[in-house]
Amino acid sequence: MSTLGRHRAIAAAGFAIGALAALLQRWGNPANLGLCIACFIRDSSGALGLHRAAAVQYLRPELPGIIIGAWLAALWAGEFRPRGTSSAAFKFALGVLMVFGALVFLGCPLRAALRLAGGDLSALAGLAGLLAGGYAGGLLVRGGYSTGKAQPAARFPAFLFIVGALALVALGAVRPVADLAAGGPIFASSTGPGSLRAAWPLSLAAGLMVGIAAQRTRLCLIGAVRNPLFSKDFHLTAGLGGILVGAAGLNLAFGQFRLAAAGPIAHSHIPGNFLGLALVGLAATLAGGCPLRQLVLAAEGNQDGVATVLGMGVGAALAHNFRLASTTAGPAPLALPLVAVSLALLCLGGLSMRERPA
Amino acid sequence: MEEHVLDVRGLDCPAPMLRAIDEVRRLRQAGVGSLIVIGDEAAAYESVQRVAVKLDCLAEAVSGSTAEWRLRLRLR
Repeated sequence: MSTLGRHRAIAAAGFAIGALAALLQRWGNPANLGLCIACFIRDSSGALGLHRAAAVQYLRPELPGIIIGAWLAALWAGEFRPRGTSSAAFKFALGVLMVFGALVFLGCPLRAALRLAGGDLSALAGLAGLLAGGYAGGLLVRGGYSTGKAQPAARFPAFLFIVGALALVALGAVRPVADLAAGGPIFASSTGPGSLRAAWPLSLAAGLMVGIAAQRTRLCLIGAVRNPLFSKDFHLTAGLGGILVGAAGLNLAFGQFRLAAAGPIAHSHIPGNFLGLALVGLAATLAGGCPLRQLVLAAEGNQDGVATVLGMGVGAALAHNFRLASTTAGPAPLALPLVAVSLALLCLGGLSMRERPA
Repeated sequence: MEEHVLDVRGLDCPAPMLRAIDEVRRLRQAGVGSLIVIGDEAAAYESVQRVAVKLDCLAEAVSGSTAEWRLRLRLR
Protein backbone atom coordinates (compact mmCIF):
# COMPACT_ATOMS: atom_id res chain seq x y z
CA MET A 1 0.00 0.00 0.00
CA SER A 2 1.28 3.49 -0.83
CA THR A 3 2.05 6.03 1.88
CA LEU A 4 -1.04 8.05 0.89
CA GLY A 5 -3.12 4.88 0.99
CA ARG A 6 -1.85 4.15 4.51
CA HIS A 7 -2.71 7.72 5.61
CA ARG A 8 -6.25 7.28 4.33
CA ALA A 9 -6.53 3.84 5.92
CA ILE A 10 -5.47 5.00 9.38
CA ALA A 11 -7.72 8.09 9.21
CA ALA A 12 -10.64 5.84 8.19
CA ALA A 13 -9.79 3.35 10.96
CA GLY A 14 -9.67 6.20 13.48
CA PHE A 15 -13.01 7.48 12.21
CA ALA A 16 -14.54 4.01 12.57
CA ILE A 17 -13.15 3.62 16.11
CA GLY A 18 -14.44 7.06 17.13
CA ALA A 19 -17.83 6.31 15.59
CA LEU A 20 -17.97 2.90 17.33
CA ALA A 21 -17.18 4.58 20.66
CA ALA A 22 -20.05 7.04 20.18
CA LEU A 23 -22.34 4.16 19.21
CA LEU A 24 -21.31 2.12 22.26
CA GLN A 25 -22.20 5.13 24.41
CA ARG A 26 -25.59 5.37 22.68
CA TRP A 27 -26.09 1.63 23.24
CA GLY A 28 -25.40 1.93 26.97
CA ASN A 29 -21.72 2.48 27.79
CA PRO A 30 -20.95 5.45 30.11
CA ALA A 31 -20.87 8.99 28.75
CA ASN A 32 -17.68 9.91 26.86
CA LEU A 33 -16.54 6.40 27.73
CA GLY A 34 -17.65 4.35 24.78
CA LEU A 35 -14.12 2.95 24.71
CA CYS A 36 -11.25 3.33 27.18
CA ILE A 37 -8.53 0.74 27.52
CA ALA A 38 -7.47 1.80 31.04
CA CYS A 39 -11.05 2.05 32.34
CA PHE A 40 -12.05 -1.26 30.76
CA ILE A 41 -8.98 -2.98 32.25
CA ARG A 42 -9.91 -1.42 35.61
CA ASP A 43 -13.53 -2.59 35.28
CA SER A 44 -12.41 -6.10 34.29
CA SER A 45 -9.87 -6.19 37.11
CA GLY A 46 -12.73 -5.36 39.49
CA ALA A 47 -14.97 -7.97 37.88
CA LEU A 48 -12.33 -10.57 38.72
CA GLY A 49 -12.31 -9.34 42.32
CA LEU A 50 -8.84 -7.80 42.24
CA HIS A 51 -10.32 -4.58 43.63
CA ARG A 52 -13.62 -3.96 45.45
CA ALA A 53 -14.61 -0.53 44.13
CA ALA A 54 -18.23 -1.56 43.64
CA ALA A 55 -19.04 1.10 41.04
CA VAL A 56 -16.40 0.00 38.53
CA GLN A 57 -16.69 -3.76 38.16
CA TYR A 58 -17.70 -5.32 34.85
CA LEU A 59 -16.01 -7.80 32.56
CA ARG A 60 -15.97 -5.50 29.55
CA PRO A 61 -16.26 -7.68 26.43
CA GLU A 62 -14.65 -4.95 24.30
CA LEU A 63 -11.30 -5.78 25.93
CA PRO A 64 -10.98 -9.46 24.89
CA GLY A 65 -12.71 -8.47 21.66
CA ILE A 66 -9.86 -6.10 20.80
CA ILE A 67 -7.27 -8.76 21.68
CA ILE A 68 -8.94 -11.49 19.63
CA GLY A 69 -9.59 -9.13 16.72
CA ALA A 70 -5.95 -8.01 16.68
CA TRP A 71 -4.81 -11.64 16.95
CA LEU A 72 -6.96 -12.74 14.01
CA ALA A 73 -5.71 -9.80 11.94
CA ALA A 74 -2.10 -10.61 12.85
CA LEU A 75 -2.60 -14.29 11.95
CA TRP A 76 -4.15 -13.31 8.61
CA ALA A 77 -1.23 -10.98 7.82
CA GLY A 78 1.46 -13.40 8.99
CA GLU A 79 2.36 -10.98 11.80
CA PHE A 80 1.70 -13.26 14.78
CA ARG A 81 5.33 -13.68 15.81
CA PRO A 82 6.02 -14.52 19.48
CA ARG A 83 9.01 -12.55 20.72
CA GLY A 84 10.25 -10.76 23.80
CA THR A 85 13.13 -9.05 25.57
CA SER A 86 14.55 -9.86 28.99
CA SER A 87 12.86 -6.74 30.41
CA ALA A 88 9.38 -8.16 31.03
CA ALA A 89 9.42 -7.18 34.72
CA PHE A 90 10.22 -3.58 33.81
CA LYS A 91 7.45 -3.59 31.20
CA PHE A 92 5.07 -4.89 33.90
CA ALA A 93 6.07 -1.91 36.09
CA LEU A 94 5.52 0.44 33.15
CA GLY A 95 2.02 -1.03 32.79
CA VAL A 96 1.34 -0.40 36.49
CA LEU A 97 2.45 3.24 36.20
CA MET A 98 0.69 3.76 32.87
CA VAL A 99 -2.69 2.78 34.28
CA PHE A 100 -2.03 4.75 37.48
CA GLY A 101 -1.52 7.91 35.40
CA ALA A 102 -4.62 7.08 33.38
CA LEU A 103 -6.74 6.68 36.52
CA VAL A 104 -5.52 10.05 37.80
CA PHE A 105 -6.64 11.63 34.51
CA LEU A 106 -9.66 9.27 34.34
CA GLY A 107 -8.94 7.71 30.99
CA CYS A 108 -6.30 6.47 28.60
CA PRO A 109 -5.22 8.52 25.55
CA LEU A 110 -8.12 7.01 23.57
CA ARG A 111 -10.56 8.28 26.17
CA ALA A 112 -8.82 11.67 26.20
CA ALA A 113 -9.78 11.96 22.53
CA LEU A 114 -13.32 10.74 23.27
CA ARG A 115 -13.69 13.16 26.20
CA LEU A 116 -12.71 16.03 23.90
CA ALA A 117 -15.03 14.75 21.16
CA GLY A 118 -17.85 14.80 23.72
CA GLY A 119 -17.17 18.47 24.54
CA ASP A 120 -15.12 17.92 27.72
CA LEU A 121 -12.53 20.72 27.59
CA SER A 122 -10.59 19.31 30.57
CA ALA A 123 -9.24 16.69 28.17
CA LEU A 124 -7.09 19.40 26.58
CA ALA A 125 -4.94 19.58 29.73
CA GLY A 126 -4.57 15.80 29.56
CA LEU A 127 -3.58 15.85 25.90
CA ALA A 128 -1.00 18.57 26.67
CA GLY A 129 0.37 16.30 29.40
CA LEU A 130 0.44 13.35 26.99
CA LEU A 131 2.46 15.48 24.57
CA ALA A 132 4.89 16.53 27.32
CA GLY A 133 5.33 12.97 28.62
CA GLY A 134 5.71 11.60 25.10
CA TYR A 135 8.29 14.25 24.27
CA ALA A 136 10.29 13.46 27.42
CA GLY A 137 10.12 9.75 26.56
CA GLY A 138 11.22 10.45 23.00
CA LEU A 139 14.23 12.38 24.27
CA LEU A 140 15.15 9.41 26.49
CA VAL A 141 14.84 7.00 23.54
CA ARG A 142 16.90 9.34 21.38
CA GLY A 143 19.47 9.42 24.20
CA GLY A 144 19.82 5.64 23.95
CA TYR A 145 17.16 4.24 26.31
CA SER A 146 16.35 0.67 25.39
CA THR A 147 14.93 -2.42 27.05
CA GLY A 148 17.04 -4.52 24.70
CA LYS A 149 16.33 -6.30 21.46
CA ALA A 150 13.35 -8.63 21.30
CA GLN A 151 14.22 -12.20 20.35
CA PRO A 152 11.95 -14.91 18.95
CA ALA A 153 10.06 -16.62 21.76
CA ALA A 154 8.08 -19.83 22.23
CA ARG A 155 4.61 -19.88 20.71
CA PHE A 156 2.89 -21.47 23.70
CA PRO A 157 2.97 -18.43 26.06
CA ALA A 158 1.78 -16.21 23.22
CA PHE A 159 -1.20 -18.52 22.62
CA LEU A 160 -1.82 -18.63 26.38
CA PHE A 161 -2.56 -14.89 26.30
CA ILE A 162 -5.14 -15.49 23.57
CA VAL A 163 -6.61 -18.36 25.60
CA GLY A 164 -6.86 -15.89 28.51
CA ALA A 165 -8.81 -13.47 26.29
CA LEU A 166 -11.11 -16.30 25.16
CA ALA A 167 -11.60 -17.26 28.82
CA LEU A 168 -12.69 -13.69 29.59
CA VAL A 169 -15.25 -13.94 26.77
CA ALA A 170 -16.50 -17.26 28.16
CA LEU A 171 -16.70 -15.89 31.71
CA GLY A 172 -18.56 -12.83 30.44
CA ALA A 173 -21.01 -15.04 28.58
CA VAL A 174 -21.59 -17.53 31.40
CA ARG A 175 -21.04 -15.26 34.44
CA PRO A 176 -20.62 -18.08 36.95
CA VAL A 177 -21.76 -17.35 40.51
CA ALA A 178 -20.02 -19.31 43.25
CA ASP A 179 -20.95 -17.07 46.18
CA LEU A 180 -24.12 -15.04 45.85
CA ALA A 181 -23.43 -13.01 49.03
CA ALA A 182 -20.02 -11.88 47.83
CA GLY A 183 -21.20 -11.56 44.24
CA GLY A 184 -18.27 -13.55 42.90
CA PRO A 185 -16.27 -14.90 41.32
CA ILE A 186 -17.36 -12.49 38.59
CA PHE A 187 -18.39 -9.18 40.13
CA ALA A 188 -20.65 -6.73 38.30
CA SER A 189 -21.60 -3.21 39.39
CA SER A 190 -25.27 -2.46 39.98
CA THR A 191 -24.66 1.32 40.13
CA GLY A 192 -22.02 3.68 38.75
CA PRO A 193 -20.02 3.51 35.51
CA GLY A 194 -19.61 -0.28 35.78
CA SER A 195 -23.37 -0.72 35.58
CA LEU A 196 -23.58 1.24 32.33
CA ARG A 197 -22.97 -1.13 29.48
CA ALA A 198 -23.94 -1.78 25.91
CA ALA A 199 -25.43 -5.18 25.08
CA TRP A 200 -22.77 -7.87 25.47
CA PRO A 201 -22.72 -9.10 21.82
CA LEU A 202 -22.55 -5.52 20.51
CA SER A 203 -19.62 -4.72 22.82
CA LEU A 204 -17.78 -7.87 21.81
CA ALA A 205 -18.36 -7.20 18.10
CA ALA A 206 -17.20 -3.59 18.48
CA GLY A 207 -14.07 -4.78 20.28
CA LEU A 208 -13.30 -7.25 17.48
CA MET A 209 -13.60 -4.48 14.89
CA VAL A 210 -11.40 -2.10 16.89
CA GLY A 211 -8.77 -4.82 17.32
CA ILE A 212 -8.66 -5.58 13.60
CA ALA A 213 -8.48 -1.88 12.67
CA ALA A 214 -5.80 -1.09 15.26
CA GLN A 215 -3.63 -4.07 14.25
CA ARG A 216 -3.76 -3.40 10.53
CA THR A 217 -3.04 0.33 10.86
CA ARG A 218 -0.55 0.18 13.82
CA LEU A 219 -2.67 2.88 15.48
CA CYS A 220 -0.89 4.27 18.54
CA LEU A 221 -2.10 7.38 20.31
CA ILE A 222 1.19 8.25 21.97
CA GLY A 223 2.91 8.11 18.58
CA ALA A 224 0.09 10.30 17.26
CA VAL A 225 1.09 13.20 19.50
CA ARG A 226 4.84 12.50 19.84
CA ASN A 227 5.99 11.65 16.31
CA PRO A 228 5.28 15.09 14.79
CA LEU A 229 7.66 16.62 17.35
CA PHE A 230 10.56 14.37 16.35
CA SER A 231 10.02 13.64 12.69
CA LYS A 232 7.19 15.86 11.42
CA ASP A 233 5.44 12.53 10.77
CA PHE A 234 1.69 13.05 11.10
CA HIS A 235 0.68 9.56 9.96
CA LEU A 236 -0.53 8.34 13.37
CA THR A 237 -1.94 11.80 14.05
CA ALA A 238 -4.31 11.18 11.13
CA GLY A 239 -5.67 8.24 13.13
CA LEU A 240 -6.20 10.45 16.17
CA GLY A 241 -7.88 13.04 13.94
CA GLY A 242 -10.16 10.33 12.58
CA ILE A 243 -11.18 9.31 16.11
CA LEU A 244 -11.99 12.92 17.02
CA VAL A 245 -14.03 13.51 13.86
CA GLY A 246 -15.85 10.15 14.03
CA ALA A 247 -16.75 10.47 17.70
CA ALA A 248 -17.60 14.19 17.60
CA GLY A 249 -19.71 13.75 14.47
CA LEU A 250 -21.82 10.97 15.92
CA ASN A 251 -21.97 12.63 19.33
CA LEU A 252 -23.46 15.73 17.66
CA ALA A 253 -25.87 13.58 15.65
CA PHE A 254 -27.01 11.66 18.75
CA GLY A 255 -27.17 14.72 21.04
CA GLN A 256 -24.30 13.33 23.13
CA PHE A 257 -22.08 16.42 22.69
CA ARG A 258 -22.03 18.67 25.79
CA LEU A 259 -19.50 21.49 25.92
CA ALA A 260 -18.24 21.76 29.52
CA ALA A 261 -15.14 22.55 31.58
CA ALA A 262 -15.34 18.95 32.79
CA GLY A 263 -17.59 16.35 31.21
CA PRO A 264 -19.12 13.22 32.72
CA ILE A 265 -16.80 10.86 34.65
CA ALA A 266 -14.02 13.45 34.57
CA HIS A 267 -12.65 16.27 36.72
CA SER A 268 -11.52 19.79 35.87
CA HIS A 269 -8.33 19.72 38.00
CA ILE A 270 -5.83 20.96 35.41
CA PRO A 271 -2.60 19.74 37.10
CA GLY A 272 -4.26 16.38 37.74
CA ASN A 273 -5.32 16.00 34.12
CA PHE A 274 -1.94 17.21 32.82
CA LEU A 275 0.26 15.12 35.11
CA GLY A 276 -1.89 12.00 34.82
CA LEU A 277 -1.52 11.78 31.07
CA ALA A 278 2.10 13.02 31.23
CA LEU A 279 2.83 9.86 33.19
CA VAL A 280 0.94 7.81 30.59
CA GLY A 281 2.87 9.52 27.79
CA LEU A 282 6.25 8.85 29.36
CA ALA A 283 5.48 5.26 30.42
CA ALA A 284 3.88 4.47 27.05
CA THR A 285 6.89 5.76 25.12
CA LEU A 286 9.26 3.73 27.28
CA ALA A 287 7.00 0.67 26.86
CA GLY A 288 6.72 1.02 23.07
CA GLY A 289 3.09 2.08 22.69
CA CYS A 290 -0.13 3.43 24.20
CA PRO A 291 -2.50 1.12 26.13
CA LEU A 292 -4.43 0.23 22.95
CA ARG A 293 -1.19 -0.53 21.12
CA GLN A 294 -0.04 -2.70 24.05
CA LEU A 295 -3.15 -4.87 23.65
CA VAL A 296 -2.36 -5.24 19.94
CA LEU A 297 1.34 -5.99 20.55
CA ALA A 298 0.38 -8.63 23.11
CA ALA A 299 -2.09 -10.16 20.64
CA GLU A 300 0.70 -10.29 18.02
CA GLY A 301 2.73 -12.46 20.39
CA ASN A 302 4.90 -9.74 21.93
CA GLN A 303 5.60 -11.02 25.46
CA ASP A 304 6.65 -7.55 26.64
CA GLY A 305 3.22 -6.35 25.54
CA VAL A 306 1.65 -9.16 27.59
CA ALA A 307 3.68 -8.07 30.64
CA THR A 308 2.57 -4.44 30.15
CA VAL A 309 -1.10 -5.44 29.85
CA LEU A 310 -0.89 -7.62 32.98
CA GLY A 311 0.84 -4.70 34.74
CA MET A 312 -2.08 -2.48 33.78
CA GLY A 313 -4.51 -5.01 35.26
CA VAL A 314 -2.65 -5.17 38.57
CA GLY A 315 -1.95 -1.42 38.58
CA ALA A 316 -5.64 -0.63 38.14
CA ALA A 317 -6.50 -2.79 41.13
CA LEU A 318 -3.73 -1.24 43.24
CA ALA A 319 -4.84 2.29 42.30
CA HIS A 320 -8.35 1.55 43.58
CA ASN A 321 -7.32 -0.49 46.61
CA PHE A 322 -4.97 2.34 47.71
CA ARG A 323 -7.61 4.94 46.80
CA LEU A 324 -5.30 6.69 44.36
CA ALA A 325 -7.75 6.85 41.44
CA SER A 326 -9.39 10.22 40.88
CA THR A 327 -13.08 10.90 41.32
CA THR A 328 -15.19 13.55 39.61
CA ALA A 329 -14.20 15.83 42.53
CA GLY A 330 -10.53 15.65 41.49
CA PRO A 331 -7.36 13.68 42.18
CA ALA A 332 -6.88 11.79 45.47
CA PRO A 333 -4.72 13.68 48.03
CA LEU A 334 -1.63 11.50 47.59
CA ALA A 335 -2.02 10.90 43.87
CA LEU A 336 -0.20 13.90 42.43
CA PRO A 337 2.91 13.58 44.64
CA LEU A 338 3.04 9.91 43.65
CA VAL A 339 2.66 10.80 39.96
CA ALA A 340 5.59 13.23 40.36
CA VAL A 341 7.69 10.50 42.00
CA SER A 342 6.71 8.07 39.23
CA LEU A 343 7.74 10.57 36.55
CA ALA A 344 11.09 11.11 38.27
CA LEU A 345 11.65 7.35 38.59
CA LEU A 346 10.90 6.76 34.93
CA CYS A 347 13.26 9.57 33.87
CA LEU A 348 15.93 8.01 36.06
CA GLY A 349 15.22 4.59 34.55
CA GLY A 350 15.29 6.02 31.06
CA LEU A 351 18.65 7.66 31.68
CA SER A 352 20.20 4.61 33.32
CA MET A 353 18.97 2.07 30.72
CA ARG A 354 21.02 3.46 27.87
CA GLU A 355 22.26 1.04 25.24
CA ARG A 356 24.59 3.50 23.55
CA PRO A 357 26.17 6.83 24.47
CA ALA A 358 23.99 9.91 23.88
CA MET B 1 29.66 4.10 -2.89
CA GLU B 2 30.11 3.37 0.81
CA GLU B 3 27.05 1.77 2.40
CA HIS B 4 26.37 1.76 6.11
CA VAL B 5 24.04 -0.57 7.99
CA LEU B 6 21.65 0.31 10.83
CA ASP B 7 20.18 -2.71 12.61
CA VAL B 8 16.89 -1.93 14.39
CA ARG B 9 15.68 -5.53 14.73
CA GLY B 10 13.88 -6.20 18.00
CA LEU B 11 13.72 -2.55 19.06
CA ASP B 12 10.51 -1.05 20.45
CA CYS B 13 8.83 1.88 18.74
CA PRO B 14 9.90 4.73 18.41
CA ALA B 15 13.58 3.67 18.53
CA PRO B 16 13.77 2.43 14.88
CA MET B 17 12.41 5.71 13.57
CA LEU B 18 14.52 7.94 15.85
CA ARG B 19 17.71 5.97 15.20
CA ALA B 20 17.12 6.15 11.45
CA ILE B 21 16.70 9.93 11.65
CA ASP B 22 19.89 10.36 13.68
CA GLU B 23 21.86 8.02 11.43
CA VAL B 24 20.74 9.73 8.21
CA ARG B 25 21.72 13.14 9.60
CA ARG B 26 25.10 11.82 10.79
CA LEU B 27 25.92 10.06 7.52
CA ARG B 28 24.81 12.99 5.43
CA GLN B 29 27.25 15.23 7.29
CA ALA B 30 29.96 12.62 6.70
CA GLY B 31 29.16 12.58 2.98
CA VAL B 32 27.97 8.96 2.94
CA GLY B 33 25.60 8.15 0.07
CA SER B 34 23.35 5.43 1.39
CA LEU B 35 22.19 3.52 4.44
CA ILE B 36 20.73 0.04 4.75
CA VAL B 37 18.22 -0.28 7.61
CA ILE B 38 17.48 -3.83 8.78
CA GLY B 39 14.36 -4.46 10.86
CA ASP B 40 11.80 -7.08 11.76
CA GLU B 41 8.63 -5.15 12.63
CA ALA B 42 6.04 -4.07 10.07
CA ALA B 43 5.32 -0.91 12.08
CA ALA B 44 9.02 -0.01 12.09
CA TYR B 45 9.25 -0.64 8.32
CA GLU B 46 6.41 1.76 7.67
CA SER B 47 7.72 4.43 10.06
CA VAL B 48 11.26 4.31 8.60
CA GLN B 49 9.76 4.59 5.10
CA ARG B 50 7.80 7.65 6.16
CA VAL B 51 10.70 9.46 7.82
CA ALA B 52 12.86 8.71 4.79
CA VAL B 53 10.47 10.86 2.76
CA LYS B 54 10.61 13.59 5.43
CA LEU B 55 14.42 13.49 5.32
CA ASP B 56 14.42 13.74 1.51
CA CYS B 57 15.84 10.24 1.09
CA LEU B 58 14.88 7.75 -1.58
CA ALA B 59 13.72 4.55 0.15
CA GLU B 60 14.04 1.23 -1.75
CA ALA B 61 13.05 -2.16 -0.39
CA VAL B 62 16.08 -4.45 -0.70
CA SER B 63 14.26 -7.44 0.72
CA GLY B 64 11.09 -7.79 2.66
CA SER B 65 9.16 -10.32 4.68
CA THR B 66 7.17 -10.12 7.89
CA ALA B 67 10.12 -11.72 9.70
CA GLU B 68 12.87 -9.43 8.38
CA TRP B 69 13.14 -6.51 5.99
CA ARG B 70 15.95 -4.41 4.53
CA LEU B 71 15.41 -0.89 3.32
CA ARG B 72 18.03 1.12 1.43
CA LEU B 73 17.88 4.86 2.03
CA ARG B 74 19.65 6.90 -0.64
CA LEU B 75 20.83 10.12 0.98
CA ARG B 76 20.34 12.87 -1.57
